[in-house]
Amino acid sequence: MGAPLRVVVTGVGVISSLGLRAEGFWQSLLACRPGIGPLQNTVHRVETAPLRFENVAEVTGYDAEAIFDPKELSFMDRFAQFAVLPACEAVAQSGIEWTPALRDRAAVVTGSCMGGRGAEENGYWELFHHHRTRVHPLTIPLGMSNAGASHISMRWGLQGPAYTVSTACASSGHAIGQAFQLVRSGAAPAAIAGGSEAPLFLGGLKAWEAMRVISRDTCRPFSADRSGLIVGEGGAMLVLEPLDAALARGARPLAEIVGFGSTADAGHITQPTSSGPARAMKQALADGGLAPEQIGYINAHGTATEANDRIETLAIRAVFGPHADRLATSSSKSMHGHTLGAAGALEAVATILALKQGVLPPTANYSRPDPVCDLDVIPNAARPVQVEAALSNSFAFGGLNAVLAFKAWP
Amino acid sequence: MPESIQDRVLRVIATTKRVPLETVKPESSFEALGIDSLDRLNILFDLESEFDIEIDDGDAKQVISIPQMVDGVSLLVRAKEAGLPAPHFGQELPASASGVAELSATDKQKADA
Repeated sequence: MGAPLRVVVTGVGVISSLGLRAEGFWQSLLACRPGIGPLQNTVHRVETAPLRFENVAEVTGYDAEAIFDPKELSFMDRFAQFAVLPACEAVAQSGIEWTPALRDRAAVVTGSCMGGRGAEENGYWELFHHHRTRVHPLTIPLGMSNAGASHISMRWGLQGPAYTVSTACASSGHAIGQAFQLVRSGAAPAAIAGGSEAPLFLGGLKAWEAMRVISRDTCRPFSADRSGLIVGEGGAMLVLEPLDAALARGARPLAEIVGFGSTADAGHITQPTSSGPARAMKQALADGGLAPEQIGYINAHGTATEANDRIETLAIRAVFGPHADRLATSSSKSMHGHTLGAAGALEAVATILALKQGVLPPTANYSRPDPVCDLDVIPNAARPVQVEAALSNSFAFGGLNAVLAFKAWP
Repeated sequence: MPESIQDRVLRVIATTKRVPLETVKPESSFEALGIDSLDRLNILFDLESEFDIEIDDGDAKQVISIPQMVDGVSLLVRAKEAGLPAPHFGQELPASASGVAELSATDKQKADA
């Protein structure tokens, strides 16, 4: 393998509570318009165990049957649909043509925390509640966490490395980082990478409820009155290509992906440390050849739990020193919710579009400063600023951290 | 004599934390027992099952000692027995409901003193 290649993002796609495409997602971020509200679609069997909370970040106005053909749909859980749809959008935007040479080696790396457990729940309900002796034969292909990657690879006949990373809330941060490394090294001539999640099913929601980290009203990252996260669903995908290949075919890069940092806290299964995230940010900077002063924006993990936002602030201060007061940090989870394994990908897109458009997305629902979260969090209104480079942070339960570094494409 | 609410809370803590019952005293601090935030979450969950009650998230966050757990559980149990909606920790029940009350842990400590 030759020298490392420069890698650019040439297409993005998003489906989220902020809309079915990246454009709606971005316009909502700019308008500081959260997609958080009472659960609308039916969560099956919720009457058997009512939820203690009401609000989620749900994909609405989505009609799977109008988009996928029935045969295809029968093989796809909602989370897999949320992988394929934004991949279609990203591929269309990139204008990439999947030549035989590309198809032979192109990579697909997806992230998901819970995969198709909604489909599994349906099967287990029959088993444990209705005392049936068998479950639906597609329970495994619907439930497997790699279903998103598999359906994407099948759609375009991409036959290179394809796999799924599951690192809870950092899954798609790791997935994009891995895909970046594959393209940079020349191991894959292009990649589709991102993540998807569909956690709005009874068992999943109950499991999050039991963690006592769900807000009863909304998601207020870095605000003194923050009260926890809002579970969201959705997906986002990126097309990554070597810079030279993209320019040679006349593509216009949205941004350059330059660094990936990945660390483990090796501490506690749920309590975060600041050192693990700080080391991941430092690694991403070093990997991207960036000085801390070049970073103008950080899309924070910013879950709005008491611990995360306090620890993340400490970590950013540890890495950036005095420059922490000169850069801006925001949490777009305040608008699209915490989409778990898809979060890293949605937030990577928010970061890429911020670099491309010269506007930084705000932290919505912010009401009161917290002395332990004393960063410039772009409260409640987007800010027109062209920054040179930006980070996207993803920190998972289990202490697994992924940080991506992007540079604006001039 | 039936097991008191306090004894049941101590038993749940010992079982959940997998430590000998005799090491868990009402005055033991969470720190001394090695109870971290996740252990606390587990203990509250097991207390909800033991007493068939629901502990509010906001109340759960404020619990930092065993007497608070005993008081909170006692309050919810009394409210349930009186057919009242679940109160928040620290709230007073109407006088009519307190007749069935067992002394709370802090009341007991006051009485002992």
